[in-house]
Amino acid sequence: MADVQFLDAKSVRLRTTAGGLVSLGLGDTFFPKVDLHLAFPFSDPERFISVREPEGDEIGLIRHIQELDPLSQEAVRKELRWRYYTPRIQRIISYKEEFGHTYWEVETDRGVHTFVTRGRDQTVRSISERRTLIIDVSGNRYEIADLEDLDVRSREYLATLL
Amino acid sequence: MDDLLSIQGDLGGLKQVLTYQDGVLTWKEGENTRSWQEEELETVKLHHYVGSLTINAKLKDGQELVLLRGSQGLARQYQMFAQTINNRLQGKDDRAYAKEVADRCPKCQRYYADPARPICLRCLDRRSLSKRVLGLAPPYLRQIALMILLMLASSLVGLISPFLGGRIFFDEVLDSAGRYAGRIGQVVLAMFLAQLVTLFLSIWQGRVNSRVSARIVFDLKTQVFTAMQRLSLKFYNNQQTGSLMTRVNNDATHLQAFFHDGLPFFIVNSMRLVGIVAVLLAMDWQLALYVLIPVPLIVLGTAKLHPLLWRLYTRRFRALSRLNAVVNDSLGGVRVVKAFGTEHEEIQRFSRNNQRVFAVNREVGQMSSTVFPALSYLMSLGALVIWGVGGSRVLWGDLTFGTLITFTGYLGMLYGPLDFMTRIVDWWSSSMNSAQRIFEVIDSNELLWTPEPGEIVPMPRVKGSIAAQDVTFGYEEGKPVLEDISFTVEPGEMIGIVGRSGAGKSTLINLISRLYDPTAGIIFLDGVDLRYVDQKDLRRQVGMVLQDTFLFRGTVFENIAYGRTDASYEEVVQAARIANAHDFITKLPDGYETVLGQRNVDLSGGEKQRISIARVILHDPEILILDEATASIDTETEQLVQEALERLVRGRTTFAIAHRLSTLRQADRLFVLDRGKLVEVGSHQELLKKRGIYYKLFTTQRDALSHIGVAG
Repeated sequence: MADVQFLDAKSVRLRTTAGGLVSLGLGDTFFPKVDLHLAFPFSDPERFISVREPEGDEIGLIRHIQELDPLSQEAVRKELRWRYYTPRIQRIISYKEEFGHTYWEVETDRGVHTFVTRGRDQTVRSISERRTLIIDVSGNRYEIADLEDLDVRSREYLATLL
Repeated sequence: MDDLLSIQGDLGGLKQVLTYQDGVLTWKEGENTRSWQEEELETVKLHHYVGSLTINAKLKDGQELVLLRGSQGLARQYQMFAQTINNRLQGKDDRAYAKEVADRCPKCQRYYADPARPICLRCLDRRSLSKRVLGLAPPYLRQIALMILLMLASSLVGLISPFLGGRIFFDEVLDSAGRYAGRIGQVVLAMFLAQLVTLFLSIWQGRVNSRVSARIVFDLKTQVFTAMQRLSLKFYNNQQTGSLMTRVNNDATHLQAFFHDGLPFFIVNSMRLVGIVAVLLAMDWQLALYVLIPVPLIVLGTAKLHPLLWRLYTRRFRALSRLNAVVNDSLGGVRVVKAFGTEHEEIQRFSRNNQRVFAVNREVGQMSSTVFPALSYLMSLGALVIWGVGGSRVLWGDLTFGTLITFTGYLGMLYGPLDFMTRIVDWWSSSMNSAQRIFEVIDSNELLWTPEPGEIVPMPRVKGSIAAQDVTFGYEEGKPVLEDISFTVEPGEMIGIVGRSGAGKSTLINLISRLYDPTAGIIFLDGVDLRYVDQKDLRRQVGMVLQDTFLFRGTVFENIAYGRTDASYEEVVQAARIANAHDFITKLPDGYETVLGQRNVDLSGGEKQRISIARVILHDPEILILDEATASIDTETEQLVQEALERLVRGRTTFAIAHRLSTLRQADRLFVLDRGKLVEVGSHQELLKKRGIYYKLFTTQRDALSHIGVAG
C-alpha cells in the first residue's frame, strides 16, 4: 500500500475514446474512463503521470510518457493539453492597470487572448528564474516561457507583480 | 416552445456551440452537427480541469462524451446550463435555474473582470463613488467649513509675504521716492506679523483637520467591522474576498491619508496656484507669461517620471514583504529549522531575498538622486529666465526692482503646488479604489438567505429533532461536496458521523448549524425549514465543541460566560465543574480571573477544550455538535474530556465527528459518508455485520492501532 505503484508500460493501452475521453486497458482490465494528473506539471510534465479512476483511486503512475506505445502517448498528450490548458504567451500586446485590475491582451501559441487579473498577490507565479505563470481572475493560466523574450516595458511591469 | 439555451466553447480556436431546446441537445462545430433526444441522455455534467472546463454528456447506453471545452470563467454559465438540462431530465422544476446569468456589464457589454463579482469597474459610477466618500463628511460639515476657511485665510496671508518682501520693501521702502521710504522697522514688523498669522492659522487648521479625518476613518472602520460581523461564513471562505478583508485595514488608513493630507493640500494648493497666477498677471502680465514657460515642461516631466518611480517603489515594497515573509517563516518554524539542522539553508534563503531588496534599493536610490536634482534644476531654469528677462527690463527702467524680487518669490511658491497637482490624480484614483473595496465589504450581500419578517418562525424552545431531505451542497459552483443526503434524527439521539477525510463530514454539520444553506434540499428542525427559524433562537440552541478551541483574550470567567454575559459566579463554576475544568482553574494563580491569551498563561490542549466545554454547558443547547473534540488531546487528559463530553451529551441531540471510531461507541447511530453521499446508517454492531464501508474503516483502524500498541 505504501509503495508507489508504477504501471507496467508494456501492458498499458491508453486510447482517446470516440467521445473524446481517455480509456485505459491494463492487461485484462478495461477502464472506460480515466483521469490523468501530473505530479510535476511545471518542471517535468512528461514524468510521473498519475492515472486515476474518475473521482476515485489511483490506478498507478506512469514513470515517463516515452515508455508508452505511440498511440497511448498521443492519447495522453492530447488529454493533458486540454486538462492543463495553458496558452504560452509570445507577446504582450497591451496591458492596462485600472482600479486594481489589469486588463491584458496577449498573443499566445493558441491565438490572441484577453483576460483580466486582479490585484498583485497571487497573480504572477515565478516557476524558475525566467519562466512565469500569470493566473487570471477565474483561475486560467498563461505561461511565459522566457521573460527575456518580452519587450522591456512588459518585463518591467511584470517585475512589479512578482 | 421552451427558450433556447446556448453555451459556447472558447478554447484553442474551436467554435463549438451547444444548444438545448424542447428536449433536444444539439452540438455544432462549423458544418458538423450532432443531436440527442432527451430520452437518450442520462446526465450532463460540468468537469473542472486544471486549466479548462468540459461539459460531458452521459448517454443511457453508457457512453460518455466531451461536448464542449471552455475557459474557467465560464464555470457559472456552464453549470447553469448543465443544471437546467438535468432538472428537466429528472422532471424537476427548473425555474430556479432559468434566470439569465449576468456575466457582462449591461452598460458597456464588457465581461465582468470577476464573474463572481458583478461590478463593471469601467462603468462604475465614479461620481457617485466620490460622492459617497465625501458623503462621509456631513456630520462634520461645520468643522470642514472651518477648515476650508482657515486654509483660505492662510493661503491669502501666505500670498502677502513675497509682496511685502519684494515690491513694498524694495520699491516703497528702500526707494527714497517710495510711499513708506525708510520705514524699515514697520515693514519688517508687518512681515513678522504675516508670518506669525500664517503659523497660527496653519496650526489651527492642522488640528481641526486631524480631528475630522481621524473621526471619518474611525466611523468607516466601525462600519466595516459591523458589516463583517453580519456576513455569512461563505464570505470569509471565498479566498478572493478573504484577501479583500486583510486589505480593508490598509485601505481605511489609505483613505485617512487622503482625507488628512490629500484633500486639504489639494484645496490649499489649487487656491495658491490660482492666487499666484492671478497676482503675477496683475503685476506684469508679460513677465508672468515668461514664468509660465517652463510649467508644461515640469508637468510633463513629473508625469513621465512618476510611473517610473512608482514601479520601482512597488518592486521595493514587494521585495521587502517577501523578505519579511522569509523572516516570519523561519522564526515561526524555528523548531523545525533546529530539528532538521537547516540554519545554514535558512541563512542562504534570507540572503538571497536580502540581495533582491538591496538591488532594488540601490536602483531606487540612484534613480531618485538623479531625478529630483534634475527636476529642481529645471525649476531653477525658470528663475534664470526671470532674472534674465526681468533684469534687462529693470535696466531699461520699465520694471521696478521690487517687482522682480516679488516675481522670483512667487516663482518659488509656484512649483511646489504644481508638483503636487501632477500627483493628485493618481492619489485620487487610488484612494477611490480603496474606498471601493471598503464599500464592497459594507455593501456585500453574502448573507444567508433571510425570509420576510412575517415568515420567521420563533422557536424559543426546541425538542431537537433534525431531518434532512435531498440535501445537496457545494462551496463552489458545480463541485458538490454533499449530494442527496436525507435522514431523520430523533430528539436526544446521538449520531456519530464517520467517513474518510474529505467525505463531507464537517460540511454536513456546517449545514445542520446553518453556517451555510443547502444548494438544494431542506434541513428541518422540529419539522420547520431551518431557513425560517429565527436565527437568534437557533444560535441559542446549537452548541459546538470544535477541535481547535478558540479562546478570546480575556479572563477564564469571561471565556466561559461568552455569549451569556448575565451568568452568575455559581452558574459558571457549576459549568466548569461539570466540564472537569474547575480543579485546574482554581489552581491557576488568578483562578477564574486568570487572563488568557497572555504569554505566561499556557493552557494545555485538554484544558482549553474543557473551558470550551464549560462554555457550551453554560449555553445549555438542545442540539450539540462535536467536531473532533478529542482529537488534539493526550490520552491522559482525554479521559477527563471524554467524561465531560459524556455529561454534556446526555439528553441533547448530538452530532459527533471523530476520527478515532472508538470514541463514538456511545453513539446511538452512525452515519457513514463516502464521497459526499450518505452510504450507511446504523448502530456500530449493525454496521459491522453489514461488512460495508464502516466495517472496512473500523477494522483497518483497529489493526493499525493494535499494531502500534494502542488499544482500539
